[in-house]
Amino acid sequence: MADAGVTSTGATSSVSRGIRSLLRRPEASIILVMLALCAFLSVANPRFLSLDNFMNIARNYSDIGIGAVGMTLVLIVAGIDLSVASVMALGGLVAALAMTSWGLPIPIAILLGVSAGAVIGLVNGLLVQRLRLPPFIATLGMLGVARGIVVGTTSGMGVSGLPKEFTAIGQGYIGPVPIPVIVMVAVALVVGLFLAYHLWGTYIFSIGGNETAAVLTGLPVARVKIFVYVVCGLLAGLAGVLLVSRVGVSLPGQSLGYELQVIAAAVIGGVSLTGGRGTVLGAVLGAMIIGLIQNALVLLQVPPYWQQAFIGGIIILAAVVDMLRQRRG
Amino acid sequence: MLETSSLGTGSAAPPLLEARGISKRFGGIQALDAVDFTLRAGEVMALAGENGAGKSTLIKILAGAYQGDAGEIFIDGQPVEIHSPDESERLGISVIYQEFNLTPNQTVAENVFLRDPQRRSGFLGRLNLIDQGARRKATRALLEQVGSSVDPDQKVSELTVAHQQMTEIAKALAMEARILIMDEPTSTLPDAEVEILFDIIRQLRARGIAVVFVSHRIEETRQIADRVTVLRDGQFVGEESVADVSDQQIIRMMVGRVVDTLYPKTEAMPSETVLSVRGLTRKGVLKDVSFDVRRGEVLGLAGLVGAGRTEIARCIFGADRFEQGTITLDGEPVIIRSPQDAVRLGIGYVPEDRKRQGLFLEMSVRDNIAMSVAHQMTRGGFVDRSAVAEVAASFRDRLSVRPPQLDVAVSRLSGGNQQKVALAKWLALRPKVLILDEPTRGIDVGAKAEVHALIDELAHEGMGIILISSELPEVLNMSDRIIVVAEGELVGELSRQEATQERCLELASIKSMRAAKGSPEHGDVPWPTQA
Repeated sequence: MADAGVTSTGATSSVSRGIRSLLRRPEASIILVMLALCAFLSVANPRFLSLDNFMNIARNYSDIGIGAVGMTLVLIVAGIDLSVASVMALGGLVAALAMTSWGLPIPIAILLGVSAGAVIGLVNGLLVQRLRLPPFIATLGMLGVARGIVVGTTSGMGVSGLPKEFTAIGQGYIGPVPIPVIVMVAVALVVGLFLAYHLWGTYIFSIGGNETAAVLTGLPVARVKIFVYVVCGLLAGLAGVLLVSRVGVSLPGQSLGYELQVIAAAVIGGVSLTGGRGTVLGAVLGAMIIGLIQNALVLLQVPPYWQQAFIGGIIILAAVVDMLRQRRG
Repeated sequence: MLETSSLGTGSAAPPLLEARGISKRFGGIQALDAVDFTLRAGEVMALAGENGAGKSTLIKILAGAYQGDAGEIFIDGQPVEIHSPDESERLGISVIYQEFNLTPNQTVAENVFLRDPQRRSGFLGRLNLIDQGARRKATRALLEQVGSSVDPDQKVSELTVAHQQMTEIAKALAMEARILIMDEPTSTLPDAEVEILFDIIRQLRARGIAVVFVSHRIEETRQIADRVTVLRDGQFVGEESVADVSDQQIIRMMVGRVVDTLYPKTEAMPSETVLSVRGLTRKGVLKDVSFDVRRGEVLGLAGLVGAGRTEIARCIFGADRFEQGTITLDGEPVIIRSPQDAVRLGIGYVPEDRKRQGLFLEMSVRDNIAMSVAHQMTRGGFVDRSAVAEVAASFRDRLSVRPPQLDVAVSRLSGGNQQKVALAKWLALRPKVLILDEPTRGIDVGAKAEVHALIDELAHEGMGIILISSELPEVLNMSDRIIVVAEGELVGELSRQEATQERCLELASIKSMRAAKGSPEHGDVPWPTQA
């Protein structure tokens, strides 16, 4: 149900009931799709089935995944944040400038990049909650403003010459696992647990389910909604910093159009665009599915020009599956 | 077949509509089980039953919105099949649902002739060009038949609920309906307008139109209906002439057991004042409203819909701002800027529309009940789930919410049980003052009696209760004191002993009603009152 992340139906009584309740979790269908996809690809191209390939996919889509975690919160309160891709670019740029032009130490630079995202998120939240702008409009405007700031301050030029210690974060590994993937998993874990067990996690679902009732129950609706936009901006900033660290340069056109992939990841992961429903795990898996499909298209030698059409098709398919599942109750 | 269908009415003519053995299953639930329903021309048939009895399903099958699994339908003795709303309308059946089927941004005339848009004659008509003048004239004629003076060119969204309803009736007449089915037509109407609606229904009856009237209010059924068909749990219980049965008998048929009293009110022992409102003023809405609520008493707020009752509640609860006035709680002046403030101070508000304003439908019963108190049960911000479950379970038991599973989404519950959950949410908070806005709207008789018993109990425990209801019998029978509101002002206060339906209506209408539409035969004693 709506609070699938909150209700934990006890899998204690028997194994078959446990499996059934697992299958009923909203993520189940995504995992099944992923397994089917993997099975098909391993047959179609033996190069697919390798740890390296998987880790590569996960690393390349970790920024989408981190962005999707924040987007999930915003979507659950029945909002939307179209500015995430621009905020990623801004967060990355701030961190890059802090290290190169301003000569600040790396941790401070990272902190500044992430904070820049949080500040934009705060502005989004205030526009939506205090000025009552529709989230679509407010964040569409912010999409332009944030990207404009990036292009404006750099006059369209990239920022390179980043310290090796910084790029080592995005390009490095701990054991076999790329560091950005570890960050993504950590973010998903923290936010996922927050959503499931923290008081405000329940409030987020309540507001998305019925905002009027939430207000009339005396819940701190304004604070929760602003908070959610701040988290979304903050995570977009973090994703942007990681992206710059991974590719080793901040470019004004970086992450252009990622907002659609971020939203797509959440929707594929079962997050409802009308609010009240969704899980962080689903959103991250959604991002990984997008990665898998793009990887598959490359391995199957589908011309890259066709990739967009495939991703679009998957979004529609995910929406249809979700609809059927809901109708079944 | 045809010979047996006249059901011994003595007349040879077959009934206008006859449905036999109608069954309908939704998943595991048998919504209708071989139900019979007979309707004669020129009669008003009440369709009674608790929520979930199958009334709506039956209506929707006649309307073509659902297809029955089994059963036959005859019109004028001829077997018919109804596969779609369109076919139903062609057969002369018109349904007016609670949520009107009007396009709010179009005019009355456009709505009335939505199906048959009054094309011009000749070539222009074939181009689908509309003869606006003819349509306006025809609309006006139809509106006059229902005694309405609404301007055909007015937008529907600008009309009152009563006038929208008249537009719906005119629309049915435009389609030459012979059978008019009205699903709870009075639930959203102020009392004064109900009389006007009843006059219209009587006129339709006189013209030979059969009216099916669905209502939860027994007194209305008695007032307007000739016969009553009662359903319970999807089964046909009986069909009686209203004159032949007592209210208690109808209730017993609906509930399946004896409900000894709908209003179990006991003597109140009000003590000191808990809430004082002085000079409450909100521009254009409320003017200088002052009153007190004492611990242990139920204060009834009576008045017509739109008189300002809900607005008073919303101002006290911080949901709306007000320009002037003071609120004192337990002798201390308080400032309430938001519902959060009100909740913190110990004021609860059960809003009138539980689905839109009160409940989180997709969330569990447990989360709904605990929503107002969950913040008191956290460790470092994380919710203590066992404490939450405990609270939810205790209030579920106290209000006997069915089904008892706390994991069930509230959307799966019946209206009565949803209302209990909406109430439980506030009880968990143990408020000093509880404002109940239409606490029994649209819930069945059994649940209604339970809610009333709870109100009485809460007052006895020392809560100050403000009761807002459009059902005068409810206000009269459950309140210790009644204040009457009209056009945003207090126009009178009545003690329990002084208060009668007539006096309340009189006070409520002083300002707004110019022409009281005659004096309809008020034979209806509020039912069933405790002596």
